[in-house]
Amino acid sequence: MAIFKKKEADTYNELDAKKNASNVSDGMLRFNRVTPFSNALYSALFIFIAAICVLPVLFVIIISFTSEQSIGVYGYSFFPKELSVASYKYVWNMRDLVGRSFLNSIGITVFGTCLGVILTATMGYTLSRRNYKFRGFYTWFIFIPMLFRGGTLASYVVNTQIMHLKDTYWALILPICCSTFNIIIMRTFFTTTVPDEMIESGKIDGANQLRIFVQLVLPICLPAIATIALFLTFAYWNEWFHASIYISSTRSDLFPLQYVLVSIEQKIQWLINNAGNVSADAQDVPSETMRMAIVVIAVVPIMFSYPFFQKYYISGLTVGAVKG
Amino acid sequence: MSQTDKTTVLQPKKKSKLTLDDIQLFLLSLPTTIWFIMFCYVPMFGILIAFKKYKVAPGKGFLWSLVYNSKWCGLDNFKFLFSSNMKTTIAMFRNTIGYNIIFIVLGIVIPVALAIIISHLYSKKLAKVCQTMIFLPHFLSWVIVGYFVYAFLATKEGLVNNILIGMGLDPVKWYQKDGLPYWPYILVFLNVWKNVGYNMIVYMASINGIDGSLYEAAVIDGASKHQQTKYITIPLLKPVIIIMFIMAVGRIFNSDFGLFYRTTRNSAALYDAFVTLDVYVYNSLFNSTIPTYGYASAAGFMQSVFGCITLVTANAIVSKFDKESAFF
Amino acid sequence: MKKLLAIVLALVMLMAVGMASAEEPVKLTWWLFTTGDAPVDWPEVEAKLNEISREKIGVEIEYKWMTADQINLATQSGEYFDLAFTCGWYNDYATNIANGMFLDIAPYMDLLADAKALTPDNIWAGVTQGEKIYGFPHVKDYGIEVFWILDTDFFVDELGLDPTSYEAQHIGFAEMGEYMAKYVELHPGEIPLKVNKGGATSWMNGLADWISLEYWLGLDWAQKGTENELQVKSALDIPKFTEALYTLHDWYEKGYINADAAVTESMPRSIAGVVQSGQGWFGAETVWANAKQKACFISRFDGPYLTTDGLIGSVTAVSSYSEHPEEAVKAINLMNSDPEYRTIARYGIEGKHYEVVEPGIVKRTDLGNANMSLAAYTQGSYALGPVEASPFESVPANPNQWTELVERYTAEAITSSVLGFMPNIEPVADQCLAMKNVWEQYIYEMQTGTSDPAVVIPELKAELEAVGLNEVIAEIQAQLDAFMAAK
Repeated sequence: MAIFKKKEADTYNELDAKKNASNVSDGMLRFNRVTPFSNALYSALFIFIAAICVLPVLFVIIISFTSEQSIGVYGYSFFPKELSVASYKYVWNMRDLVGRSFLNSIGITVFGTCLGVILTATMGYTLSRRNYKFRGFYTWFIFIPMLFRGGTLASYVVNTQIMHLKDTYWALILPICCSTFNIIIMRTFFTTTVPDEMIESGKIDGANQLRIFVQLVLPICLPAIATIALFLTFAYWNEWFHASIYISSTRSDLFPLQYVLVSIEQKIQWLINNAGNVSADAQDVPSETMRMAIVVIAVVPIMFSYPFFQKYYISGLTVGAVKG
Repeated sequence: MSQTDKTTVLQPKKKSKLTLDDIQLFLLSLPTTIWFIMFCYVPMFGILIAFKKYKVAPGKGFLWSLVYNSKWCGLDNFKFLFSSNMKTTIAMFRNTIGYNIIFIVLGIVIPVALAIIISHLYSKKLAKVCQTMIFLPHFLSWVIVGYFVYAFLATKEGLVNNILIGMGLDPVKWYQKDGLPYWPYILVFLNVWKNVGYNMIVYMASINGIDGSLYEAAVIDGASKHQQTKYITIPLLKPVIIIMFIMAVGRIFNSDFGLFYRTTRNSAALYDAFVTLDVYVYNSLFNSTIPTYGYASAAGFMQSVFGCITLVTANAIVSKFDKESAFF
Repeated sequence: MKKLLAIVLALVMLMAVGMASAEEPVKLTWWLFTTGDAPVDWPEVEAKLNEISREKIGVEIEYKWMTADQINLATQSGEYFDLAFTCGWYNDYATNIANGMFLDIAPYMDLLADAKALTPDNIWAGVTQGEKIYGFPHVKDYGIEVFWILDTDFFVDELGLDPTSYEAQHIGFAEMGEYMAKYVELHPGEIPLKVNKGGATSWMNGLADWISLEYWLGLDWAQKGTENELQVKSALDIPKFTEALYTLHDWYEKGYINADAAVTESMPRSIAGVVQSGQGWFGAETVWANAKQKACFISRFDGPYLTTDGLIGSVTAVSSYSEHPEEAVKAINLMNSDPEYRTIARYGIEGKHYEVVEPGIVKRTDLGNANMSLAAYTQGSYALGPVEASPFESVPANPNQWTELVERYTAEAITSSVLGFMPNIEPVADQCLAMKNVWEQYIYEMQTGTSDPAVVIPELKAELEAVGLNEVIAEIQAQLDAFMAAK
């Protein structure tokens, strides 16, 4: 009982704190609002857009519960004639593979995102310092790879024969942890939101660049960090290409979830492209309902990770106000 | 405005000597530098494949095969890009560039507009929920989107045709000649629909980073919301918008293969509406028994060179008007 | 203390002796084909296989299942291997020989004696070039026979066909139209022949003596024995091919084929209509019944033909830079002559992945289906070891199907006049790529009957000629003439 009360008290305190925080800008917000009519219009617009965007996910979920026969006769439908959980049963039979790859995906995503954020932020910060001597050189240095690449074969040779990444988790983490695009976004954020005076004052206090970066710059650039972290999270979660090249089929213990899905797609493509060569002993294609079931398993968890990042974008003007 | 003035004043003159700062910054960026060298610069020798008839030498490894065993062939590997008939070649370049221009414009205007509008909504909860939903299409691969589109457009079972029949209209064979005029719109719609949530994030994060005191001052001065957007939000978003624009321009010869190939299901009747450089290259090379690394490399190199030219041009134009926001 | 030392010393000596006496097994790498999905339980199966191979030939083999992309990257980047699966559509046999990747195994034939004894003579022509033999061909359905796969419930129960009769087992391609007409009449609104964009599976395989299915070039079977038999032609100039297109279009117009076939990606056998097709052999009905989850019988509409493509349909080659060529050849011999080894490689572990139903017939367990399903024909001969049972009593498995198959091929097969010929398209690669691109725009609609051949064929032909069809044909014709002259 006592514990319950304490918890309750905590919640109240939290609520109060939030209220106070928003009070800072409340007065300002009141003047700063769009008219109620515009608000209604905008809200309606967003509800409409959101509906269009939710539809396909709904569709995928419905198909995953549709019976295969029903698809065969009536095609895909939002209102299936016959429901079935057969596809989930089939996925359940594959639980060793799907479960393992699910854990792999989470591990790779978390680790890769952390690594990627560090690499991106440090370079982005360096490039944003106007008095950095090598700034011009480094801009070109990271710009060129955005356009010119060695190609799959050369990358494969370097990654397998020099770095020996084949059949390791590193092959799924390292090649995509950094990108010119993310660094440039980061640089732009830094140049627009970090005032030079702050760096200068840091230096006057005797801090070195690493300390300035970690203690002064990063805290006010949380939205930027969250943006890049979000991009990386999605990139890692959706990644399958490197798995298809660097992970042998017999090392299914290293598969990420997306690759399990894609390997099924590839099989279907292969069967179409080689219709002439497929003799009776070739395996049949898996059903569509089963593929959709895997899509559901692959999409739903990442959906729930989104609100975690989201709080950094939609907190309105409060962050700015506090900073000001 | 005042911010930029300050920075120009503060900007120190170029020094000839390395300062402690330079060394610290260099060390800070060293891990990323190493990453770029290992994953981007070392493999870059692979560009040579575009100018050689690559032939592997048994048991000798890649480098030996490339340097000693493969003959130089000049621009031979590039020929296949232009060896089709005139109609296809024109359609291919027209579509690649045309769609990209539309995508670049819409890919900036719509997300910026939505990001600004969403920051105005009264209900933050609604804003959050909607934003999450707008993001959902990004998680579905084009293959899955292809199935989704098919559910709407299938000739017999498709939703759209059933509605048309219900309204007493003639059904349309969407994936055949009948459907051709509609596809450019469908493709543009799908592209915006899938990417808008993703693109919005950058702008929302930037809006979030804007100094709140600016708005406060504007409110005190009696500025309307419209004026605030015009004189504060958009000018402060400008650097981000410009950078996104320049980077998109650099990829103007590339196209999102999945969008064009999977949603149209590579239907021959629609070829004119969806063939892009990447689709053409894929259709020529996929599943080929002859080794195609040289050709693929050549196609990629051509895209890079053209992309580089357009990017540098765009950058030069931007820096004429606004040196601060330019790429270099 | 001394005692302890003595024990340690003795142990060390024992270990040294033990290591010296048990000869280190030679380790080999064997590349095999997969479409990308993994046989999850393979490591366990591999351990079991290595027990046998260690004992019998002193070899341990690491099997690497590779997708087409992976094997291309691996070969092109010069990765090491000892043995590899190769054929016309994966790890391309002809290109690899041209690059010198494969070892001539003719000098090692003694080591292959057991496997060779189980291999029919007419299969070797595909891998033999002059005196040289570049691979070991697997005994499987190496001739081309194309079948209708027909649902028992309609064809037997409703129409009263006798599935064991000669007529029912040999329904012609065009003839199927009559049956489908009956089906549509009896089941209005239903579609008998549901296909994906690839068309009716394997519909084209017997239509010509294909030199390249990629660019649709071949010899006309109808010209065999005449002076024109060696004339390389575009598929569009081969009447049997164009007639088939007209038939398909007719079926499409009549509603026997699904309306969106040309843009349909996957059509699993379990939901495709009462008529299906596929390349196979008499005996494959059990495999198909398994995929369809429905009782069926099969009816041959084309073949058998013996062609280069069929004979190199599944080959194991030895790497030209293998450090252990003798052991590698021994491994091929083991895989293709030892029933125990072959059965484990194909079905997995008895009791876990499969059960023996009766001598020569096995049934996969659920676990076997989920975790040990693989393209077994890429490993070695099919004729060795048990066959798979079907889930239906009306579709019995025939353990003698492979002996009968070889007999049938020997008695009935039409043999290609150009066995062993593989074109090198390198000199006309640009034209070929352009042709591939043009075909890509037409073929899906053609092979599903969607487009009208009367309109499309002239159009397609003009486009192909514009991008260099005639140059390609001239080049291949010259190569073929040279090949025949050398023969």
